[in-house]
Amino acid sequence: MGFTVHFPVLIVVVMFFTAFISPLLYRWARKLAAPAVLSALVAALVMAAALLIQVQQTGTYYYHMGGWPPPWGIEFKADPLRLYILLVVISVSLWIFIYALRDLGHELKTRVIGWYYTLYSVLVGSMAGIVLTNDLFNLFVLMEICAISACAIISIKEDRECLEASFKYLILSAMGTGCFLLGVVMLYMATGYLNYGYLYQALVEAFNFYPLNIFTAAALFIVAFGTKAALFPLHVWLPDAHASAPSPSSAMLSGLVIKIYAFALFLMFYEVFPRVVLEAIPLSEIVLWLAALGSMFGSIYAMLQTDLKKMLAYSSIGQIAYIFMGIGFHHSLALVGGFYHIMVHAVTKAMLFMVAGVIIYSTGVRKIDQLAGIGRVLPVTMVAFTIGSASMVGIPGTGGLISKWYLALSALEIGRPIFVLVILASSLLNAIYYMPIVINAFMHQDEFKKEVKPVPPVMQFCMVVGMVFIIIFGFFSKPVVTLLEQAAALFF
Amino acid sequence: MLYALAALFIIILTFFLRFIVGVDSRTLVTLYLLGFIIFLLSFTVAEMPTFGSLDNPTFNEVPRRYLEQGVEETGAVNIVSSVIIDYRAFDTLGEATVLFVAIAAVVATLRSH
Amino acid sequence: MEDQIARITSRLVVPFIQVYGIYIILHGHLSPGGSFSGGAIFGASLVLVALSFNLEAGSKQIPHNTASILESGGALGYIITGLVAIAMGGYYLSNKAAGFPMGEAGSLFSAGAIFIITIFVGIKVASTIVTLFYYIIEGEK
Repeated sequence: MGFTVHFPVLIVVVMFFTAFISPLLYRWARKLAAPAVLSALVAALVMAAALLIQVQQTGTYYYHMGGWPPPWGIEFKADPLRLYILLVVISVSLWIFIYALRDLGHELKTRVIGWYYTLYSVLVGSMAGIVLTNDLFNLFVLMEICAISACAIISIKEDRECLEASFKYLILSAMGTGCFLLGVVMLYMATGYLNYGYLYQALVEAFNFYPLNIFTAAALFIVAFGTKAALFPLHVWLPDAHASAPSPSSAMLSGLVIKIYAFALFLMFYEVFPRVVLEAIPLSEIVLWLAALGSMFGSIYAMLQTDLKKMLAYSSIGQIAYIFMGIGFHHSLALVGGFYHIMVHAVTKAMLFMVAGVIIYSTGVRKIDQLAGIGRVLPVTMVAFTIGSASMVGIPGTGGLISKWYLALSALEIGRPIFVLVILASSLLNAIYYMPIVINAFMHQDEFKKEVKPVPPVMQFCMVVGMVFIIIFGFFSKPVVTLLEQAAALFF
Repeated sequence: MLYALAALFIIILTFFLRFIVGVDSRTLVTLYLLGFIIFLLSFTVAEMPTFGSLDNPTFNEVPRRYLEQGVEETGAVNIVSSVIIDYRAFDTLGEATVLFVAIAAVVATLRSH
Repeated sequence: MEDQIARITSRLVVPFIQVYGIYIILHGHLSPGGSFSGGAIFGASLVLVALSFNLEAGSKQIPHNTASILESGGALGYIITGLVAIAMGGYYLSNKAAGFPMGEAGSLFSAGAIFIITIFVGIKVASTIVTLFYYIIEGEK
């Protein structure tokens, strides 16, 4: 038994371990705290990559906690799809952390930075766990951890608005977690299992005896994950929370946290509820229409904003809707599009929040109308913003096009061209609010008047990395798409 | 007939609450939504398997192994301990982490303000 | 706040509460209760001291820093126990399969990893309650 068999659990444990040890490190050896988190993230990244290579050769791999096989114990599942999401989560959080090292100093008080590292590593660990776990109750526990740490990285900033926003977020996501627990209880009462695979089999028979329980559980799951992932009518907490948080937290929350819950909802729809249940009630249809509404309304709200970060936050509501569309279409191409969008949007939105962070860091400007002419004083930053906007709109050559292309293709395949129109319209709306900023930043004849602090090289490096990756996603999508096509084919 | 009576009852109740008690319409809508959810959830609960019955789906091989082989496999006489700290120990690690994160969140928030 | 009755009663009662808390933690694998409840009882006894005397007397019993170090330490101990199981050739958080000494079922020193983890979680819960209490009482300091 080689050491590699333990990698699924070690990825989660190494992050938790760093979280527990970093308050001690910050007390005794302050200089070591940041390198510790950094090396933990790198270790997790290496383990995830090694697992992906191994799984592609030998097939899906299950890890039994404590050696107890399911249904008695907890099981982690490592298949190509989950490892792909895991790689996105860990690499994006490593990238954001490098940015945060430089940015946190001016957004937070020095004495809470150590706690920020703790919360950050717990957040990454819990997200990795949510992706890997194959057990409903374990998912609930990890969701709790994720919810609390996500709130805390907002409220850690000294700002009244942050407190209010994070309190709203805390209450709504606690409600989501509560709904989820209620749903888990109902499924457990009806089947006696918590493991995804066992539930999938047992629910077919249990559906004849307890249909109402299973329907209610499904409804509760949609509410729970919808609230946490900001599906359209349940998004009310998102704009305040993501806009007021420190920039690295915004990048983390908008880039990764909401997508993890969308992925969890996907797992519920494809690995927990069997087709019989989903065909009896139009659950996917509901998600699909809410997503369609969300992609329009998110963009319309974003147009009305005057604050840059708030605009980006509303734009996330529009973009997460594409991922839900990918789940709702029930077609393998749509899944490819949705999952590709998880990666593209994670990188793009994180980079856009970094750009917003850099603008605030070096000029202190938050309002969109004060950005005129800023492209000439902060060229790298605004080029990054331009490429990010292009990817949001879906201009050829950026990653955003590929995911929208696959979504539109699957909408045509299942014969619902109206969703192609929805995708086109929301892209157009995206262009309406992103492009004026770009044009204003470069073309405006006025000089930028405020004094400008030089941008630290680490921040510039991070933005350049983001730009490069968005363009790579646009031109060299083949390997990832092949991986996703193979993974999606398993569900149909 | 029954449906008509129910509808009549709801209409009278609405008029009573709105115009005699003086509840504003927003609260009224909330109340009705809550009532609907309570109605739905109680039907769901009524459909659940009988509590404590032997043919419950929950009484399957899972608790049977915990009960019959728990002492031998984990060495703990307390069945609850053997489940939470051995069979499902990772969940308990998660719960301990929840406590830790809660403290970290409180400390971070209080110290920054 | 100086209350004679509260002070004398708590002085009398606190040692018993603490022993009871430790008893419940140590017998987690034998009797009802366990790490969470035992830790809560032990932590509550320290809170009781702070409430009936004053904050200084409370922090003399368990200083701030010690409490927060114990908190991290308890959680770390849990994780390390799991890693030890891997090192001994089992899976993460294995108990018997990894070869922890099982002892005789029903005796105090039995159940291998369960006994160890119960103690760690007990320490963690007790210090969590104390830390939380102090941070909320003192607020900014």
